[in-house]
Amino acid sequence: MDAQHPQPQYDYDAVRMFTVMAVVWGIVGMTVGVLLAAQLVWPVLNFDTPWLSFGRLRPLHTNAVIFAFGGCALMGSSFFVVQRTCQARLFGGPLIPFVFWGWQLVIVLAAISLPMGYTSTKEYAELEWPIDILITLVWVAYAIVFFGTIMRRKMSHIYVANWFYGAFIITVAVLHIVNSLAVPVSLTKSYSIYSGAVDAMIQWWYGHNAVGFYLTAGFLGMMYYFVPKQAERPVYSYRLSIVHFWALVSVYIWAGPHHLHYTALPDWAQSLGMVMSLILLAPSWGGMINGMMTLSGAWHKLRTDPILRFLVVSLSFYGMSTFEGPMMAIKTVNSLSHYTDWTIGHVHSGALGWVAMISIGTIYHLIPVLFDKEKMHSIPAINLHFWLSTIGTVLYIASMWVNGIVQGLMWRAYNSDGSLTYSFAESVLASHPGYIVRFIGGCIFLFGMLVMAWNVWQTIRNGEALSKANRSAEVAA
Amino acid sequence: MDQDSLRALATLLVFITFITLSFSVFRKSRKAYFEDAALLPFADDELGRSVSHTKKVESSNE
Repeated sequence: MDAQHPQPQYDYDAVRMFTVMAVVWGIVGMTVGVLLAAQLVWPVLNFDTPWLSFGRLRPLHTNAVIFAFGGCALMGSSFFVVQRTCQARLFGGPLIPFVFWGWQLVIVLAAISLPMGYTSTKEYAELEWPIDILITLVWVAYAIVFFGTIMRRKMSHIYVANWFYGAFIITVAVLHIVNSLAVPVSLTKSYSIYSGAVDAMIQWWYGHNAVGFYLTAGFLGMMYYFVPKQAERPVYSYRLSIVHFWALVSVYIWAGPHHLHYTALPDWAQSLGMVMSLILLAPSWGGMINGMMTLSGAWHKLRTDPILRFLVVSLSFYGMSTFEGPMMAIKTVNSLSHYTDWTIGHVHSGALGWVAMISIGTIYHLIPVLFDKEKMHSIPAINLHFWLSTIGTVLYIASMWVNGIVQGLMWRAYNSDGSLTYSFAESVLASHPGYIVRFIGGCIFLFGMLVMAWNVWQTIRNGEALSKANRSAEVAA
Repeated sequence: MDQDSLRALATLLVFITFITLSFSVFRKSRKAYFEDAALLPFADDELGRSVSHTKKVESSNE
């Protein structure tokens, strides 16, 4: 905070590589997603090839968008934010490139092993044990680099974005190690050390906190830096952000059992998961409002700045999905929504609306700063991308809502003699129009990503270089 | 102690922790500290400089 300090020499090498790879992996992961959406409309698109079958490509899609796209965006932005808010150069020397290349190796191994059919069958943790060990090593190196940089900081206070990033790093380490404990029987096959209902509970303790700490806390770290930065004003209430942090991290960890309503999991655990999920609405909305209100008095900026629009609309999708989530965790609602496409719609309102859109806003903010450019090559292209993303997401969510409710109602309908009114295949047939709309929405969103790739490429290659006078001031694009 | 009392106690402790945290964060005496902290993202650019500069001027006037 002291203006007397000369600006330290930041290390942006890893940040640059992670940011560019986030764009690349985003396109790869979403392309697989669009292919899967197309397969549900036209099943013939699996070409009777095991490597292209839905069951093998689906984990490839989730791993690619969460761990490759989201992971690169989180790791890159955290290395950027921690340096800038600590006024310190990145710690760790050779560990920094190890984190980048190690993570890329994990992604490539996933892209090879999942289509080949190697899987531990744990959702969002499908990778087999040798890759799990590599993930652990990379993750520990990541933690050393991040927390080492925090220890080098020039001021006593640790900025709130780093708290969120830090919670994300520590919790994901714990989740990954506990959930991936397995007995290997060969290089490519292992069995979980847990069994039965305990295995299910460990899996969804992992699964839901992957949502809570990877897809929420990590990206909230992004939000607390890039929203104030792009709006050019400090966060609405810094004090609220601290209450937000502690409330969110202490409540999220208990919400996992809502994935196991009406299963062999004990009733008390289901109820606990439901209640904790409902409480979660408060910290989630506290953070959302804190981010949105940062713009109070500067709403006009939304008219001219499509990057800021990405960031703020991502917060509104966050608010929407964190309302929908607790509602779906209520057992009676869940008995309708569970196992239907409603769940997939909910996930994507979080994944496309919140995670992807805040990452896209962050990438547009970062690229000019990292490559010493005045601004992005084309601002109208960012605007176009914004509308493509928004329309794509809305089509996706709306079609899955309709499908989910149709499926839920058809599956529970029964005749006076107690027999089911509809066969499962009839509900699949009724879902067909929704699958077409979802495919179209996905294509539109993916097209927006291609527009971004072109824009990023043009900015790096041809963008107007930052003038020397501006370079020290580092005016954000 | 039976299980239900333990649960009630745990709930009470979490509640007290939350209230304590909220009060300690929103104490008036810490307002300036947190306002400074909120400026950390701007440490490298004009906004951060100008604000900390004005502060310095104010304090030298005292």
